[in-house]
Amino acid sequence: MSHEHAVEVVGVSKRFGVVQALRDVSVGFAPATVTALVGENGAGKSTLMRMLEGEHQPDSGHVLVDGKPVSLSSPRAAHALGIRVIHQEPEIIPELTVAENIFIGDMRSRGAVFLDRADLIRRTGDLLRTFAMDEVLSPTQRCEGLSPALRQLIEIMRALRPGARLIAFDEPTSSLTEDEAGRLFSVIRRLKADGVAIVYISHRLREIVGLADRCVVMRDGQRVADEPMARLDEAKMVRLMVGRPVSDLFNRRQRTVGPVLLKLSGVATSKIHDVSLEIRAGEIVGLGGLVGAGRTEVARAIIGVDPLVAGSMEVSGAAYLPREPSDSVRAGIGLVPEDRKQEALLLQQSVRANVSLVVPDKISRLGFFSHRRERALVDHHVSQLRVKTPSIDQAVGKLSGGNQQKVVFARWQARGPKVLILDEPTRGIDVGAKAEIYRLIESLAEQGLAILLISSEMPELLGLANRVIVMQDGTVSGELAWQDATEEMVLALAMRPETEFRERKAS
Amino acid sequence: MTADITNVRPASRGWFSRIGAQNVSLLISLVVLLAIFGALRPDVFFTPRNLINIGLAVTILGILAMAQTVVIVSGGLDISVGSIVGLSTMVLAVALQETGSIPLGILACLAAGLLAGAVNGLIIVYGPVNAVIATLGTMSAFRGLAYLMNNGNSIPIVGDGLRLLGTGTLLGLPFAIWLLIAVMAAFIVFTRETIVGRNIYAMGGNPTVARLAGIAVHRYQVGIYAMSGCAAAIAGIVLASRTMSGQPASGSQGLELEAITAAILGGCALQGGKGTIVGAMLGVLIIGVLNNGMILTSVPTFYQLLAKGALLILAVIVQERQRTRNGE
Amino acid sequence: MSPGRVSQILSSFGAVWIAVAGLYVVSGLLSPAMFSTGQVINILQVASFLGVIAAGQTIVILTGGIDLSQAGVVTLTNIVAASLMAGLSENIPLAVGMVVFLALAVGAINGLLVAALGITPLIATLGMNSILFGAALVYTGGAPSGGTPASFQWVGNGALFGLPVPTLFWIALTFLLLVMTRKTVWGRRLYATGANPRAAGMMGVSTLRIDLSAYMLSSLTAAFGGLLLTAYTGSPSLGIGNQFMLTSVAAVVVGGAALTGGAGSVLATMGGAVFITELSSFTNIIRVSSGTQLVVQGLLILVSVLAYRVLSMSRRTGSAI
Repeated sequence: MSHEHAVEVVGVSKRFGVVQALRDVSVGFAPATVTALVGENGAGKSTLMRMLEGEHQPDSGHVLVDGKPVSLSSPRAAHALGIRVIHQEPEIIPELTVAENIFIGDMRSRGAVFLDRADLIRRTGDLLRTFAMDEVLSPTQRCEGLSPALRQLIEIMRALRPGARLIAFDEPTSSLTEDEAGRLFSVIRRLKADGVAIVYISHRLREIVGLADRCVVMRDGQRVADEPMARLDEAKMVRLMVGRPVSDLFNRRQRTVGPVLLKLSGVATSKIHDVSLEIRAGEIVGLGGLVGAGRTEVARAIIGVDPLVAGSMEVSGAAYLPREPSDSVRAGIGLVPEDRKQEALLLQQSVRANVSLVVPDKISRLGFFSHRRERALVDHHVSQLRVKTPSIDQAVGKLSGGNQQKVVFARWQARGPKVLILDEPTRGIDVGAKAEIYRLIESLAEQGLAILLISSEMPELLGLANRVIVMQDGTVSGELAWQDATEEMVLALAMRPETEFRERKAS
Repeated sequence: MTADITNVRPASRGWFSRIGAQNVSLLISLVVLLAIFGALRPDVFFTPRNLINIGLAVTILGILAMAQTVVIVSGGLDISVGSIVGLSTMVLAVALQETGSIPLGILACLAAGLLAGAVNGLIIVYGPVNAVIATLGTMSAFRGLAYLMNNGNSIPIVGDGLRLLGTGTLLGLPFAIWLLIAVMAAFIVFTRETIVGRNIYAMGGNPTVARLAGIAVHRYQVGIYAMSGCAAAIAGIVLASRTMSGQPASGSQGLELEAITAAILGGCALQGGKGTIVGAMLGVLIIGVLNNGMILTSVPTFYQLLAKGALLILAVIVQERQRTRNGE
Repeated sequence: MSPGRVSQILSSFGAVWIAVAGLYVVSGLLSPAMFSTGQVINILQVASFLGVIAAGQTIVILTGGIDLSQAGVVTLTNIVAASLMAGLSENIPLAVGMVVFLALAVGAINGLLVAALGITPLIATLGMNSILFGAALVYTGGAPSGGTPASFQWVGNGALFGLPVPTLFWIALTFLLLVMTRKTVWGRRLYATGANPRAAGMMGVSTLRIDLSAYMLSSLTAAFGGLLLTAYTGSPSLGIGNQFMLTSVAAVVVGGAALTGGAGSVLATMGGAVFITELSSFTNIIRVSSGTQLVVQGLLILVSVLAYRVLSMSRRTGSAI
């Protein structure tokens, strides 16, 4: 039987604690249609997907499959109804074979308990042949040591098992090269031809324009647009996602630039090679490139997490070779890492303890803390950055993403470093807080800090940086002054064909 | 994608990959140990009698190590097995005393082990309590129960039926060794050829995948700990058939530690998802040969403890090195 | 101190002390012997050994680790101290110095195994425990010898201001560790390492140094506990440390520390040690069998873990309102 929508959500809402993740969202996904789902981080896309795959249950509203209401009470129930979600991070079990990984949870038995290996291999072979993957993956191969691209492929194959009604791709191209992405698109077109409903989530709007039939835009847990792709373009999508023109977020002023504070010469670690750059006092240097181009690895080299195998570094003209991050803190370098929760914050501990973690020398004598001086210092910086918290004794984990990030900034402001490295500083932060963070970054530069800004968000990179350095395949592929930098030029440097890149380096 | 595809490691199907690099290095260590002790005591070491002795000495440890391997692969740890061994010998002795029937006695013993293990699993799943803490607690509690059964005294077992299990032979091999072989075969089939067995690797290797694939993780956990308890009861039966008594304190001399050592030596990763039965048995044999060889070459018993502690740490260091080299 | 802070302190240290008081009243009502001053002093005396050892265990557990080699350190300390003293007062400094040196070396090796080589703490310290016990056997050849001079026995059996000397030492040690964990930069970094080792490392905390110092402290307090026990018993015994492998962890868990690290307090562990000793003293008085005592001890660990889970849950919902 057919229905206009293969899967439809009607008026669903979902709340986690104080956060309203979804607010009365209604969306239909039609068969043989690619529906793009776009929105900023935290707009509710992931929550919607988790609901479809049976991980979360809606507080109100319901889900229809072929027009009939269903209860997606568990991942198993969702899977049985043909709803498959492909996650960004491939989840592969190294000890199992390709076939076992693909058909996990759906292996057939022989004599009630024994694994029917022949059947498993046959089904896997059929599946791989259908999507022309049989030359790259063998069913009996163990998955230990497979490349990220192949792991992603297995993750995708898992969703392509027979019986799929709706397949959702969550940022599937983030770890793929352009070539690999092209192959993925042909798989998607084939699925579409077979009548499967496709949901495609991506931040790469250009990809979406070429691939999707329809586009659903989400913002702050609500559906703000649901249009045929033909009626939208990139600029319109961005406007809908952000809710206001992006340029409003930045007001560039002339910056006075001082001496070189951080200098890298031919730096190489196990993941990057031949990286040279300089950052001057009062300057914001953007570091652009695709995910996996080695930007975060540059930050890791600077703060001493990844050891150098070649090259040298200088801070304020003096040689600098960190063995561990404490050396970098002492040398006056601060890092606001990409993964706030894992790498920056002690979530159960108070705002106070989190801020004072890097400034013990300012508030202690002979190793003993002065609680009075600690409170004064933390209070000062927390109020200066307008961190919204009931008190500085509040656990950081209970604050919103934007306020958590401000706590990380407050920490470094209390320390007063010379160089600040910001790795995706506005990831997972709502638009209002974003603007505040931008103001903050600009004012830090005005105070004379040298700032290295790593960002995947083009407007942020182009709007804040004095210069943009672009990376590709672990090394610098070009540099642009802000006056010349456009989104197209940055992308061109980030995705330059390999041959041209090599020739340029050789010359 | 083409760039990556051409770099794919060929799907090797040789004997080397089937046995696994880990097991090959264990096999080499075992051969080296055999060669050393064989050279030091050529007159006795390789006699059939001594080899059978080694086999008998590792029966109990082997059964426990294999069960522990499955627990560790699933992402858990069971340090109460030694206490369950002691408890099950007591249950066996009491049941034999009461019924006089060996099948009933063995049944009661296995049921007690199964129940004890299931209690572990239920606490871990529904507490939920960290596996180490939970089995630490029940380790003490089960030992206490064993003491309670006869005011801390042992119970003698009379009758020849059980003695036969301890002393009887078939085709020149003692029954206990046949039992070890049977248990090993069952475990190998279970971990390699059953759906549940394969799912356990998924569970320990990546709990998220397991859950999303609809594997009933909680039920599996209870079942795995129950299985571990049951295996401990089988070990208890072997032990009781040798001492011909129920001993509340038996299995308390660090048996659980040795079982974990053997499993880790055999390639289990404490993080879960990795490890094989064959590897665990190779680990057990290395420990057994080392023990036997040290006795034959008159190494003072005191040094044996030192050697075992060092072996455990060495095994983990090697594991850790391999893990970081694989870039996991 | 703000009222919020008072309630915070109460909620983190209080629960176990309430249990200590509750058990005391209940056991006293069931068996009036518990109410005698002599019995209270006796409980404090016996609890001191466990308490001193568990104080160091708390530090390791705060980092998210565990130290099962304390039992081996206690045994080795007992054996080495008794043999080096050989009943002579003039040998005391040598014996104590040797024991402290050994303990620091053991702790340093544990710390390096865990922090530098990345070995699971459970396994590293279990292996170390086996090595230490083996070393004690090798050292004695299976027949421990020596003994403590009378002057040293006063440390284990004497009293000052009406309190046993070990108890005074225990209180002083706990106070010292409390100041170190709560008032110093080191303490702040210790809690940070336990709460989120990766973040602490990225933010410039040398987690290697923190782990190393934690395991060294743990071995050191185990050695102190061993010395006090040696002074108390006056003689060497190969089995003296065995019980502490689990009870020192149990005291910390009963005190409410999280085995995942970053939460707990030495003051709460003190309560845990008193509670465990109180319980076993009570079960001794009412003459339950050793079997029952083991069962009770096992249940105690499980029940306290569950009780703290319930407590923290009610606190969480409480603050959400």
